[in-house]
Amino acid sequence: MENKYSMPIIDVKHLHFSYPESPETLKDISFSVEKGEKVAIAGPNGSGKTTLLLNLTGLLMGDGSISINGTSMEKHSLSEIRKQLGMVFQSPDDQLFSNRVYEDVAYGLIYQNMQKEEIEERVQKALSDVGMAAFKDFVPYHLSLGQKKRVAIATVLSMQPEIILFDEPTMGLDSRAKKQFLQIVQQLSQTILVATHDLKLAATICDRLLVMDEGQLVFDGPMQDALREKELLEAHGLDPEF
Amino acid sequence: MINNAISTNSLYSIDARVKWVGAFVIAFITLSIPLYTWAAYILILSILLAVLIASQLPFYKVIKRTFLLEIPLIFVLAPLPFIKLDTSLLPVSIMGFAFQISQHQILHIGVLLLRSWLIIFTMVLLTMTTPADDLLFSLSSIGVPEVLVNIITLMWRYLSLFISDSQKLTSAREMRSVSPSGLRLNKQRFLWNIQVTGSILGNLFLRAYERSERIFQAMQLRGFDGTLRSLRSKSLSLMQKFQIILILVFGFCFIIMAYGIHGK
Amino acid sequence: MSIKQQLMHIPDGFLSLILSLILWIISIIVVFLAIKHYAKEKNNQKLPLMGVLAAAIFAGQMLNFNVAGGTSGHLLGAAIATILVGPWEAVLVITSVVSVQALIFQDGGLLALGANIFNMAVIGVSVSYALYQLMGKVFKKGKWALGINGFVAGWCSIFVAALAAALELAISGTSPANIAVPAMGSVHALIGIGEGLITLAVIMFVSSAKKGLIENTAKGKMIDKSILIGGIVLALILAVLSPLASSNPDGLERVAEDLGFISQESGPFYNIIPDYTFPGIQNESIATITAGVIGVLLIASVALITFKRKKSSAEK
Repeated sequence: MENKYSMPIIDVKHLHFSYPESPETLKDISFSVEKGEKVAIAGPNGSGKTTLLLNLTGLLMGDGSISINGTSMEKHSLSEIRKQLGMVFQSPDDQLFSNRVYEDVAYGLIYQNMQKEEIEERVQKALSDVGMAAFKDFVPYHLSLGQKKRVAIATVLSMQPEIILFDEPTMGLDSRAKKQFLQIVQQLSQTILVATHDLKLAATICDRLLVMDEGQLVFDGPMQDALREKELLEAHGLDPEF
Repeated sequence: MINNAISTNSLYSIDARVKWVGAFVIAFITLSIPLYTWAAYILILSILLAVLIASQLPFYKVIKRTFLLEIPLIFVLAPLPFIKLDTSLLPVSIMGFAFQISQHQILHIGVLLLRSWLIIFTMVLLTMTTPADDLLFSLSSIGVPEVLVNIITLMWRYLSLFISDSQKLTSAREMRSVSPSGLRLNKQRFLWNIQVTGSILGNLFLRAYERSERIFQAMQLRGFDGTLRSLRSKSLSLMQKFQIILILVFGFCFIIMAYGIHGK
Repeated sequence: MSIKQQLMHIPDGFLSLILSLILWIISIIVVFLAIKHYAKEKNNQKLPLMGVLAAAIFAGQMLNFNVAGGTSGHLLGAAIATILVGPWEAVLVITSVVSVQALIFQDGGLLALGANIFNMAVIGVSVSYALYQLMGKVFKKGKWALGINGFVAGWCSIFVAALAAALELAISGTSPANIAVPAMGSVHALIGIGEGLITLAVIMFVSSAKKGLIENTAKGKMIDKSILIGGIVLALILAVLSPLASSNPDGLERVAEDLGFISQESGPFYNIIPDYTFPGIQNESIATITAGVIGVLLIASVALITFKRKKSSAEK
């Protein structure tokens, strides 16, 4: 959909969400993201970051409105929306459920009814983008956490989405694996949302920061400004001195 | 023809489906020939040994693995030689205990164990020359329903993970809890044991439940809609069909031959 | 990975071929019905749930727990799976576990797999389900109700499955019923206590840690009458048949012979294959020697080829 005025690629308005028999997890969240923006969502554990990401994918559905690239989130538009957006889960073991690296990366493409040759091409490209091309016949169990993470990113890249969501991407990674992860992410041209409680990571990748606490959006602004607001960051469980 | 077979490492490159047919045929002929056809057992064993040599697997390791399993059904089989079912009784005396055992029964159980062992040998060779997930995936093209194959391959993916999970839980419990030797009564120790095992397993099942929810989310995001699709399902090539037919014909001839030797 | 042999897994060679094939057919039909049930329900989430639960049960089976007197027991898990995910799903879960144990770990035979699926997935699950539902009518409320019902379901699943295995061995002529039934029965009556207590402990743990999980699966579904009745019938038949067979082993053997299950010494195809002797081979000892010579030639030639190939690839 071509529009003279740039339309936000993600547009969230008055989003509320609660899990059954629990207090509200997301309270009136509104924000929008332009195409190509790199946005960090920071906040302490349990602040609702993951729940927000899951709402953006339509895996969870709350009250309010979400539109992705101009398509509003409805039950019937889910498959359309999921073609445009991929999510890298916190634990790669949940995301890599096949017995071979190749199969995991190809899984989504098979469900898009793609031709075998095109699948082959896309898998190769996605795997070499994350530096895992040599591992395509490996069993996921035999990979290190960092390698699994990279394959998990490849499963998303192979589907060539416009938006990529990351949930706590560096959790549990050693410093070398973290560095490799940063290298990969910095090369991506897609719109990126990273949920993390690691401000250093957020500052390295992103130019905009959203701070969440107890289900509310308490800050939304450029990363530079955010880093100056030390008191605000500390008040919400984030460490500005990294 | 022979040169061709040598140039490619034939044993490992054979399709898993062909190997399944081969294993089934060997198991089937082993169990369907007359009980005391020694010639047939010698031939089957020779075939298995030839495969073992061709596989270049460490000889001792493979043979050891075939004996790794405990003698099965010991409670059911052990009393058999002592009941007088026939007249072939053999007087035995061990450490002053004199009793009679039935030669016929010993021989009978021996042959049953031999047959059992030959098939275990076959299966050990099969699993050691083929990656396990290839074996499991190929089940779908030898007639196992897709749903079951999917459950099995998912299970295979997460098995090692759960085994290490359960080991971690076990050692964590052992470190944290009261040592069982602190409990005086046997009964207490027994109940303690049950409770610990119960909570370890309970934890395992809760984790399994939660993990399956996240896996389902990951599957949905990649378009899973309940239909089952795989890249691995491909049809058999002409060569593979030919190999399967060859194996089946061999099996058929072998059985006929065994009955011929046995004499009617 | 090493797995301890479980008493319940029947290896190849001890069941008559015809009985194996019959039990294969029954198991295939039940698994087919379970898959049809899954397809009809259209609850896609169950696919990963069954896969991951199967992995957890497999891992759980590898935990040893001590039963009195220094013997250790293993979990079968049919009752736990039935209570956690429902009977049809449990059939698929246990079938997957038992199949992989046989196919990849040689725990239980290849042709005996049908019988093992029948004993553990069909009998184990349906008896668990029937007993759990029946006990649910007796102990409805109270802290221990779920656990006690789980105990009974767990014990019965093991005991009845063991009786089935014993009868299968007896029908196959491997072991007379008056040995097989008391031996398998008494050992598994003990092991069943372990299974029952573990089931109890797991159910109590899960229901207190995650309220609603077990209650939901119990309430959310209608009682599945076909499995309920199937489980009761199977349990009753085996409970009546096994003491009967045990007290009259010769009778069972005669019936088995009449039905063609026992044709041990001459092989199951004795009556089908035409009467002939192998040309050129008059007696068995010559045949045995010939087989030995052929075997040695085969092994030697394969060894020669393999050795040559190894050498030539080493030269490259």
